[in-house]
Amino acid sequence: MSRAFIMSWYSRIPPAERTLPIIMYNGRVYTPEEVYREVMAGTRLGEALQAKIERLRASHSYALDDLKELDYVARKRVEQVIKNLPPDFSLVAIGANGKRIYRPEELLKTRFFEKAVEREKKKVVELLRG
Amino acid sequence: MKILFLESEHGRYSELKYASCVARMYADKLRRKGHQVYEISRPTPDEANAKIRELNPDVIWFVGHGDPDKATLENIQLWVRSTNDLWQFRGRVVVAHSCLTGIELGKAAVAKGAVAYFGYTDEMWFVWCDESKYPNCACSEKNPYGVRPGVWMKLVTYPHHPPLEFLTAVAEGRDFKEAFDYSLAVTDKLVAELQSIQPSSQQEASMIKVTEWALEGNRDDQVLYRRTVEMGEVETEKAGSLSKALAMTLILSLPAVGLMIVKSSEGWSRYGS
Repeated sequence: MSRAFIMSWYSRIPPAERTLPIIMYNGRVYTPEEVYREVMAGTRLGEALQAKIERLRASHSYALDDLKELDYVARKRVEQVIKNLPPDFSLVAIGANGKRIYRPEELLKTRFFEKAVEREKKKVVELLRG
Repeated sequence: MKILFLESEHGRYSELKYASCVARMYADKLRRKGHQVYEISRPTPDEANAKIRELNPDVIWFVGHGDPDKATLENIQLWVRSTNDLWQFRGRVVVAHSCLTGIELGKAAVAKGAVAYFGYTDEMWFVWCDESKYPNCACSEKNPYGVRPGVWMKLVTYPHHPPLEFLTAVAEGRDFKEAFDYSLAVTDKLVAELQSIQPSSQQEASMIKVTEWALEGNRDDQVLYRRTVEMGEVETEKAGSLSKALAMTLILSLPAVGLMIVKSSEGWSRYGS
């Protein structure tokens, strides 16, 4: 395993994505920034994270556990994005009945949230393979 | 082409003007291209109906809160329901900037004589400022969140472009399917443009990301019903169904091992190499 691999992988990740979770290891999610830091510091954790990234990049298919983790990572990404929105920021859905204006914390219970999770699953796979 | 814009502004608050101010930009552009363009601001149902009778437009664009079987105009006043005769839409192209009407109302409109109906099969999402505290965010570079003016303008207007791009493409003479596909391609371009922005803060990055999700979600829920001259039947174009067809093509062209296809509620998503 070489550090050059992670340096090159990290450099291709858009800056805005570097602080969002991308991988799960031992029950915790890590961002590309954290992965990069650990690998550059030569820690055991860094080695484990790099090994996992290399495995997922090379896989043609994901095991069930990988898919569960992918779902979890995607949810954490969406939650983090929503948490970083200004509290009085809103999204509107122009339905005639029911609720129409959603504050960030309310978005977590909408179909908008679930759809965003699906999109972020694809994004994570793209970024891992980037 | 004669095009009528029904530009509501107030629903419960002034959320509808976020679409109407973008529509006004397109109306100007279409006028400059030689189309007869009419704009009715804050129409009541009676005013909208009177103008349709008077002007006999080829295309109607409207913004209003919607449900599967109905659409409203200014102040959420009920305008049309799928159980009405829908004379307003007969012989016309309808572009509904509204939630959910693509489920039932659009189909009924075409069955009752509309030439085509563009709408959404789910909620249509966009960015909004709390107008009670921050008036004049719509189509403006001003915002209370510290987002750079040029970036904010994109966030607040981009989700409204796709239906208006469909309308513009129809006015330019493209056939309905081409116009529909064009609006999908425009959405992808807008998403790519948002993704290329270097955010100046974590907060700005989040607002950009949420706007991308809104655009992509809306894209997958846009639908077009149209009547074919030869068959007198209703056909449907849907972003999701295109993806499904693509996914099926991919499945059939793949080697037997090494790929996972996951079906989601939105259609088919492809994971793997």
